[in-house]
Amino acid sequence: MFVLHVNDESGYFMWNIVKAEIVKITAKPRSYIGFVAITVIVGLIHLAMYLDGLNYIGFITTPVQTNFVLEGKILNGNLVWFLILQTLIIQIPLLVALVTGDLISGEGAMGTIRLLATRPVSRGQLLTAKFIAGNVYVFFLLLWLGILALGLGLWFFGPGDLIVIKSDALTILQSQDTLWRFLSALGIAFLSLMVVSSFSMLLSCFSENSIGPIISTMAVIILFTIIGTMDIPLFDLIKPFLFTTHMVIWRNMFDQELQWDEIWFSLSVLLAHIFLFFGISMMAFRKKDILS
Amino acid sequence: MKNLFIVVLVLMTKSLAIGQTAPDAIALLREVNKKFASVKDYQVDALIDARISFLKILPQRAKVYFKSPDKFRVKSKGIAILPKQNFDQLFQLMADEKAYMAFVTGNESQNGKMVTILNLIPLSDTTDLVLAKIWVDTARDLIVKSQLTTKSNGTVLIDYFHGNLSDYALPDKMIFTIDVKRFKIPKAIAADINSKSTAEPNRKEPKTGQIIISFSNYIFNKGLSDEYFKKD
Repeated sequence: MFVLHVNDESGYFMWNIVKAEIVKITAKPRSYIGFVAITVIVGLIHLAMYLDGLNYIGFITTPVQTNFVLEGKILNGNLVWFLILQTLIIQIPLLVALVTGDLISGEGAMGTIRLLATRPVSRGQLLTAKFIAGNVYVFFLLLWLGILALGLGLWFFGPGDLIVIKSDALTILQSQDTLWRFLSALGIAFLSLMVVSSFSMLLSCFSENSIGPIISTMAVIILFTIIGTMDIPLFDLIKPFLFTTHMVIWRNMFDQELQWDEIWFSLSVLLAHIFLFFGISMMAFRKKDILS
Repeated sequence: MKNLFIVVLVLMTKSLAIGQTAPDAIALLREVNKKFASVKDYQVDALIDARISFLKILPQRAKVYFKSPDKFRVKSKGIAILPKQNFDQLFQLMADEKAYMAFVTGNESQNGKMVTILNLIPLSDTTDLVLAKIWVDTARDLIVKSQLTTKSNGTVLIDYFHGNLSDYALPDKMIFTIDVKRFKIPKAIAADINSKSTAEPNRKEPKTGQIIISFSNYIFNKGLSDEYFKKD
């Protein structure tokens, strides 16, 4: 049983609340769905690439191989890591929402929010602690993805130059030039997922059950992703205003020459979304009626 | 087949018009090939620099191995992009005089030197090569440029730059200019969602790409093992 120690030192006090929130997240079985899903998907992708990776690579590089020969070890741990990141970063927001969408509304549904509010903790501190704890969960989810994808990738396939496949271009990065890019990409992915966690927490503030915020977050991400995928002129006008457009900026870390202006702009848009969502959440949660 | 017939007819007419006959062309090619024929095997360091609009890659180091008559292999630690044609494909064709028809089609000045232009047409209709046009520096018996028209890869223009090893027809540098098509795969397959096109609108994409290969540290006629040519 975790006991909340109240202390005058605000930093220590805050840390205790965060710890309490982390313990609550770890106590819920749903928090492990993400880790299990990542483990299964990463394992399956590695198995598929091990058994049939060369055919897959052959298929996606066909436009190049009609005129040229690609010499060298194309199927390698770095490529598999990249493919996993590219595939999973679309799905991870859904796994994140599963936990962060429940942070406030879950308390409401169980009736524990009233109990929490009787503690000598302000609503602002409580929300901040939940926000931090939610993002600690996101951090460990991404860390698990990074370790698993890289570790298994290098173990099965070994290192090698990375072919980054875009719909209209190919970039080939030298093996020694990839690790820092992967780590930066994970850092940017973390910021992107913080947008998702703050958005789902915002929805969670307006709901009395967890299903609503989780499903709504997923629906918004799916809708924005579909708009982002379709090359329709009307959608091209909307795309810059969707946070999902800026969430994929991690891919720009794999350009041969980095477009820093574009990267910084997207990072600031993501940060602005985090502050905006968290700010609205704070206002909503402070005025939230917990008695009804 | 009809096209091949027309090409042959035009070339023969042109050849006869400037007073050159096929045996002269064969003799010239024999002289050119004699230099390379003295190389039984070689290995060389290569620096491969690909300049293709849709491909972003830094120059890559590789090792090139050749063993007469037709063993050829490029090995690189990283990923290198190469032309489909082997560097020695032309010499392999020229080595078998019964495999092609050759005509001298004219002379022109290349970098201040007079060169003779020849056309080679493979006799077999199953080969990928349809026509080879080569520019020969007759003073040094070296190929300085060739243009290979193939069924599958369009036209490939190759510029040869010779240095110290010109006596063996081993170039210091080769520039391949290759027809390229626009690179496009569905966004869903590339998992390239929410991305903007990297191609600038209204900008004409170049229709050719270049691969520049610089050679250094030739080691030749030292007896190269077949092990080097085994696929990994």
